[in-house]
Amino acid sequence: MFDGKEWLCRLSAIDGTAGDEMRVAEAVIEAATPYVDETYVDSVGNAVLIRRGHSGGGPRVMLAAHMDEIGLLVREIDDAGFLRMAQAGGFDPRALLGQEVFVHGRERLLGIIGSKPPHLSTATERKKSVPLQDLFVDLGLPCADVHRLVQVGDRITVRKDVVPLLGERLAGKAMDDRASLVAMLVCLEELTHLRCSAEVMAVATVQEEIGCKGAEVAAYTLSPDLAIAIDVCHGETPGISDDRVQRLGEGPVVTFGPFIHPQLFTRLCDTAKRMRLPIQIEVAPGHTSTDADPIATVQAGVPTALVSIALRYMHTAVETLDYGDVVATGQLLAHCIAALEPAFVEGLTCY
Amino acid sequence: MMKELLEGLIAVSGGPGQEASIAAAIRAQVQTIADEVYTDVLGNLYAVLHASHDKESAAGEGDGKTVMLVAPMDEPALLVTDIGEKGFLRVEPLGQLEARALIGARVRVGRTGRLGVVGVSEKVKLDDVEFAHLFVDIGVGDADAAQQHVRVGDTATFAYHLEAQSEEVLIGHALSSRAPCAVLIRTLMQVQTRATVIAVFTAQSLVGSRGARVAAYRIAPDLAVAVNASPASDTPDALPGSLRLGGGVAIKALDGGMVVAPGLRDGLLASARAVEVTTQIEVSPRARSEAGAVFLTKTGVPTCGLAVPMRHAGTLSQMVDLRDLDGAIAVLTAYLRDL
Repeated sequence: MFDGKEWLCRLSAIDGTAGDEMRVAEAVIEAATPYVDETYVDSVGNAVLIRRGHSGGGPRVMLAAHMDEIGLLVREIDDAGFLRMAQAGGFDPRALLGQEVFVHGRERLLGIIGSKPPHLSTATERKKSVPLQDLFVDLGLPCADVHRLVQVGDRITVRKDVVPLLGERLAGKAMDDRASLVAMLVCLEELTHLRCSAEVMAVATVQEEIGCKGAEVAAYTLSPDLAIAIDVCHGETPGISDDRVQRLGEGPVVTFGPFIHPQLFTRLCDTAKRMRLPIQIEVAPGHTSTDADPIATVQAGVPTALVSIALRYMHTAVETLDYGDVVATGQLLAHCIAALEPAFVEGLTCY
Repeated sequence: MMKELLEGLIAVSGGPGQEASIAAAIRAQVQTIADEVYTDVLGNLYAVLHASHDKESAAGEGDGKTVMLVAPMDEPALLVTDIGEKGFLRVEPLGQLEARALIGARVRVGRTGRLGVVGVSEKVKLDDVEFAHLFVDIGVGDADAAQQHVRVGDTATFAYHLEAQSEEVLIGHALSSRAPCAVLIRTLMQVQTRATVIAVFTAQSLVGSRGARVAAYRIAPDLAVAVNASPASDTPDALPGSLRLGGGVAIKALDGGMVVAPGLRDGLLASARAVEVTTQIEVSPRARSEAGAVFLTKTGVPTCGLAVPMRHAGTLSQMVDLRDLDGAIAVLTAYLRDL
């Protein structure tokens, strides 16, 4: 029995910043193996999970969800052994203060992020949030040990296990985009119960947070007939107007905009209607900042759509979502893919 | 004739990602002249002239070559992101638009044709106006009524016509894309060449030359010529630039995404001289064309470009000179003939 929630908790806790996703890839392959025919890791580190259709000649569908999480790099080790940091994917420095982190040196070291205490800050400094350049990691080790175990360029990840909240809500790090990996796994599992002629190539992609790099390579190599990217979007949060966010627990978010293939978007909406599954619509003016962007323009173009899971506090260690949305996203994808008929897929190439 | 063609093209709405109507309008123009017309996954329109048009003449360099002509089809638009309780629409820009310049502008929802007016929150100072402060009023009382005419994800383009200021000078809101398209259409009508010519009217140019990129991949041409409209800097206090309205078609040396190889640029100049067309050289670091995206396709595509000088670029009253457009058609026709 596939326990998606359990897998989400496990995947969320794995350390895997852009360029260092191997541990996540291994776990994803382990989780997917019962539901797919073939798995492999490609030349850049993407984990590719292939589930063949009932009969040959069906459409070839690519799913993409990214494995990497936002992280930090060691920029400098100062004379006292404190580590200065550089961004590897867009952490909000305001959310870093006081966090426990792992520094991935010769061994994995636990550290904390510190800064100047308020008592010793000037009045002007207290009014501003502390910029990344003034934060540091304290490993609590003698200086000589720090230099022996850590070098500039080593990766830093936030340490956080998933916190179950009320109902189906979960909070943790790297929910962006491990939640989508689980949605992809739900989809693959659901497909074992459906008759599906399509070949599904589910790709756990690398390096999304630093420019959607893995997805571009995978799409070029696989050259699918159509693709659906899965990512997270902003959930409703106090202080943000309703038209810019989606609701937690109210279903998958289907994106529309110039980068999205209109017929594929409509097909996803129609599938949801047929399933009586509530969905939400999000509009992206121009780039979606997800794997969908590069996939759509590889080779002669790939009809591409985007389904997202609403999530609060993006790019912090307490990314919060509703697990029901994860399951519904996987189910929507499975039912949409299983119902793809060759004529529809053929029609996508004529606008 | 050029004026009528442009009138027809500018009357059709075509925001980025929603180019189906403008593609159909262009298809109607090229259907009878092209050997083949088709669209692709991203909504690009292709018109192909096979290399059989001039069998009589002696074999030349152009034999067996495929030349891609490329012009953008989409126009700046507002993307509807939300329909508020009272039926007012929230919008985000597609393409280079400045929020405060749009206050009071008339827009038309591409899909349904519903007219709207851009309004602004009166609590904000004019200098501080951003798109979050704008809304579109489509003249209904509540969200349910608004749903009849528009849905989230629709694009609204600007609802103006082509106006002739004189015999030569035209004003229109979407000339930045439709003038280059018209140049391609008219060239297809008259060109005689030994090369296979594929004219691509691209989708999604304003959101990052996405159409041009996949079209170039699909065609993998031996040579590409991009046509775009570039800002003229002959107005008071204009930012420095090389172009003058009515100064002739511009041969591209450089734009924001492309530097043209001198050899290719000289080829266009030689063709212009051969047909005695006045030209100027384009150096527009702030302008964009499809050339850059096409150039970087696969192992690289030799790419050059022509630009139509345009005043008031980025506003709803773009101005072009028909003599510059005619020059572009003449140079392009001669260049393809000389291949």
